[in-house]
Amino acid sequence: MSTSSSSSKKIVLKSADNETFEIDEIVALESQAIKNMIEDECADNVIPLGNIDSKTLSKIIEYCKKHAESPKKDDNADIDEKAVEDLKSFDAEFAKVDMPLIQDILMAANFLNIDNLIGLMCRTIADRIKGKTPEEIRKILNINKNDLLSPEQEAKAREENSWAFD
Amino acid sequence: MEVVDATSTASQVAPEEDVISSMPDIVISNILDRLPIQEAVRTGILSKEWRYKWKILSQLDFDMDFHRFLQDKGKEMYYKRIISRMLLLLKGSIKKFSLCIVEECHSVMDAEDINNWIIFLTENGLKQLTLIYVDPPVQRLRLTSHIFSCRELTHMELYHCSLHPTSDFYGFPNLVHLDLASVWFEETYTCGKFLSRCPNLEILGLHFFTRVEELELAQLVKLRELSLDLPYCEFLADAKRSVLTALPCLEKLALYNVDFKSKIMVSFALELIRSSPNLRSLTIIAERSNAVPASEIDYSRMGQLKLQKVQLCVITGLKQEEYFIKSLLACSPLLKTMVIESYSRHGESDFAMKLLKLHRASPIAEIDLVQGLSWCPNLEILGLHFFTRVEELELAQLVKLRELSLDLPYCEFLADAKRSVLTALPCLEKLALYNVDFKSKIMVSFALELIQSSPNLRSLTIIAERSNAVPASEIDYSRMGQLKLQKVQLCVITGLKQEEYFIKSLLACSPLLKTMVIESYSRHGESDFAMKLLKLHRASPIAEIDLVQGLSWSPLWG
Repeated sequence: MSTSSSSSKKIVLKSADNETFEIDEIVALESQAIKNMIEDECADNVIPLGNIDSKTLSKIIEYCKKHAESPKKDDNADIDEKAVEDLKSFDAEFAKVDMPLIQDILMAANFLNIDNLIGLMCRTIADRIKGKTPEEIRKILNINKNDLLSPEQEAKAREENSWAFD
Repeated sequence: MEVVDATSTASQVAPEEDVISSMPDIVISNILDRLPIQEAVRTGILSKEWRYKWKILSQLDFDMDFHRFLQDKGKEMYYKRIISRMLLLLKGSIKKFSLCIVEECHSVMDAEDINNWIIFLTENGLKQLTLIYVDPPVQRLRLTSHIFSCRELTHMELYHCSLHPTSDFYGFPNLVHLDLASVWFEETYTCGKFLSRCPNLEILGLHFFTRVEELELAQLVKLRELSLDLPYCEFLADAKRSVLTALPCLEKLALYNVDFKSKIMVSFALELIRSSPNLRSLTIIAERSNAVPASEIDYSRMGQLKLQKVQLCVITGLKQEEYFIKSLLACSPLLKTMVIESYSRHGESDFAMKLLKLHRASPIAEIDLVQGLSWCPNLEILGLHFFTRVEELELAQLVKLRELSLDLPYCEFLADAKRSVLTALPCLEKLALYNVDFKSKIMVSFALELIQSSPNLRSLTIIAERSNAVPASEIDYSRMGQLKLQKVQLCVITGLKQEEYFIKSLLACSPLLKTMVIESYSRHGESDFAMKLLKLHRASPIAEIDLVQGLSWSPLWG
């Protein structure tokens, strides 16, 4: 199932920093938002994505390409299983990036409405904060020191749901 | 597109900025829903931004892990209050609600509480409901009829409930996944009638004690996965039962407690297999019955199957089983693996010889003939109770076991002198041994071996049996090491020397012990025994020993 043949329809995406990416339409269709634009025929040759930088966009294209090219449900369970395993390990590798990039990808995926990618990023974030102390989570999520609760506010918050704390 | 400008790699995120909390609610709840409930709630102290974010949770999983969390904190009595509060405080609709009810909950929450929550949930966009009784009480939960007005339901899993659909119940048009175990239908309603109103089911499981009087499986054309417990499929006995036409989408079939001596059951299994042109995976758990073998079954109309994976469990080597296996092998040109878990008493070699002779339509088929329980390596909770004879058991293979209960007199593998010694059960937390004869060296040694091999054991229950055996010779307690036991219950203790030694070594090796309840059956009164117990050294400074009389504390136990 080759999607990179030159005959297939191309879509050009332009990042916030004016870099352009030419991709196969089938890859772009992974994004529900772009799909809607194409279906409603309001997509020009070049789709500008003013709020996504080129680093984030290239990651997103890498993801969409892999998922678009992965064989869809097949009569042969064998291929199915292999494809599922293959996508799983791709996703695991894909998510091994730092938090700022994960946040950027999540925001962009939310904007472009790419359901699987939103799920993957949310799962990655959840996995990273699972079982961590509040202090560790603040560091992971980059929470501003000026936004912390006052000791009184924190005590009240703890008391409201004391069962969840110690 | 692979070319990325090096200058653009700087992230847009300014330092010291929490981007996540400014994202749309739907994204935040997507993250929070993936955390255990208590951890999601704890995000309320992260910052001012995060103060009330947990209120947009859309899934509440009060599962076994949640229960264990409460138990560890000693907060089980607040279980009901926590659930009620969460339901009141959450802002959006709760799409998924799961509740695991363990024995300790029965006194804290009753059917009315649970039904009130469900009424609230059904009014608020519930899509997935799971209710599981881990230690089912005698009485089934009579589920509120409000559930039948919840037409948005996509997923329902019920264990040990009774359902009484109202006369205006038109069905669950969106239900795709239904799993019922030990579920009864009340009055004139039947399980079959109920199922006929769930036309879009894709995954269906009907398990023990869920009686199915009539079932028009042919109506459920979208089924992809089906599991049935055959002894409760009463519709099988109906001679006028309509023959299946086709289940075009069925890919996975599991049949439990199939008696290969019953013509009705085997014919039905064959009928299902034949009517499912896209079946890829088949699992059959056989049941050993004493029925008279059925007359010959017609395997001729089998046709070509697309089966790729077959699992057959509790196979004893019956002629009927052999025929069944023979026809599957002959008709499945795509078969890749067939796992046969054999329970044969006369060893496998005979059976293996027979299997070797069978023709296989698939050139790539592999047959795995395995012993006993080794085919379910992921078991976490295992109970083998009276009259479940266990001829051989490789416990060491079940490394994920968290809870184990065994009825020792039926553990025939203990008598096997060549039995391999246990290495480790790293996850085992709860162990219960029934009918332990303290005069039997084999049993006591095995109990010790289990305790020694379970570094994380916290709770131990032993119900002794009073036998007339001659007391065994001395047992070696020296290799006991340090244990993590916190709770020990010993029942039907008669004050034997052997029991005393056992108690002595537990006390000496359990520095974390909190309670040891000893239910004494001594004929000469407790005081003598109490005197002996007082003298024993205790490794734990906070251990309490409760010596109680006879049956006083365990009214359920005969």
